[in-house]
Amino acid sequence: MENSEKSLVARMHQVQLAVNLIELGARLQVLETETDLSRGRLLRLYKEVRGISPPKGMLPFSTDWFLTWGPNIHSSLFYGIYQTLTQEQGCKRIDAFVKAYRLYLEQVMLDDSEPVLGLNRAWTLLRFFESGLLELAECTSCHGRFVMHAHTPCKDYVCGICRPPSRAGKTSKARSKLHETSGQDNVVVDMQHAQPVTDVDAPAAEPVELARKRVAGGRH
Amino acid sequence: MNIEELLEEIQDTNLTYLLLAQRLLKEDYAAAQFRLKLTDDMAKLLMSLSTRQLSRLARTNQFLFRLCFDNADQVQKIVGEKRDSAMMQTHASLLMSRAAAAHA
Repeated sequence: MENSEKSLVARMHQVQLAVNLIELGARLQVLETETDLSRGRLLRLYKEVRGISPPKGMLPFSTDWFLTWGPNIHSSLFYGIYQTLTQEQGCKRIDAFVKAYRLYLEQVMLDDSEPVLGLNRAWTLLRFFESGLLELAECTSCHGRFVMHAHTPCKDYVCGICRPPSRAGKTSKARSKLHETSGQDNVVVDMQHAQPVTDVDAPAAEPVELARKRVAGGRH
Repeated sequence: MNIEELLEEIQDTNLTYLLLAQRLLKEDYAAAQFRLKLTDDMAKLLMSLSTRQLSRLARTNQFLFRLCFDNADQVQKIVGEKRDSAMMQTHASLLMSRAAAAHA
């Protein structure tokens, strides 16, 4: 009784947060952890926002993915933004997460590349940092900060942009396809080819259209 | 181009910058603070100024804002990248998100 009274505004915020997260591609696990809405409500919200049932299956759980070349650069960009928002500007954790993810998407869209880091991956990344499994290491060449396994000696660390592995970015068909067809409106093509990159994070490839709109349109 | 024209351009640029900064801050405060690399105090102050006050601020022979990179080597690394330009922009963005921290 008391609960439902006091929480009308709070509940609204929770719903808004859930909607924002769903629009950006969040899975049910993320929503259940980050909001206090019931599973039933979240399911209904999800269907209303996306028009389909949420995908089933586990969230990615390996830290290694974040250390591979492309994902590492994207993860580092995202986490750098998140850290500035929380540490320098005092944004609250989950608000900062959503904002940082939007700012990350914005940049990726500007670069005409794929959002390699899906929202669920970004959230997993955040949790890995919070549990101390990952840390940032400073590149001795460009002084950017990059995602690393915790407790890795990083005195002479050089990042994947300053010293890319020889085959970096060349293996993926998505890339060559992207260059062949580089035009204004090949979003659909890109998205299809983005699928293998984001396999475990399947919804990430999908909500890009939505994300584009969100990035371009209103945000709160 | 004579100096008067250049001075005028500086003032125009200053004012454009200030007006855009205000709009951004009103739209999404935290995101704008990040983009503009402003402290909380400065962001709040800028947001509160009238157009009249903004144009007074803009009327100077110097730029109101400066490059957010302090380190020329860093910029050299970014522009010197031979790979695709998308990576260059991502790199720039990554390094700038840190620049924000350094100035705040």
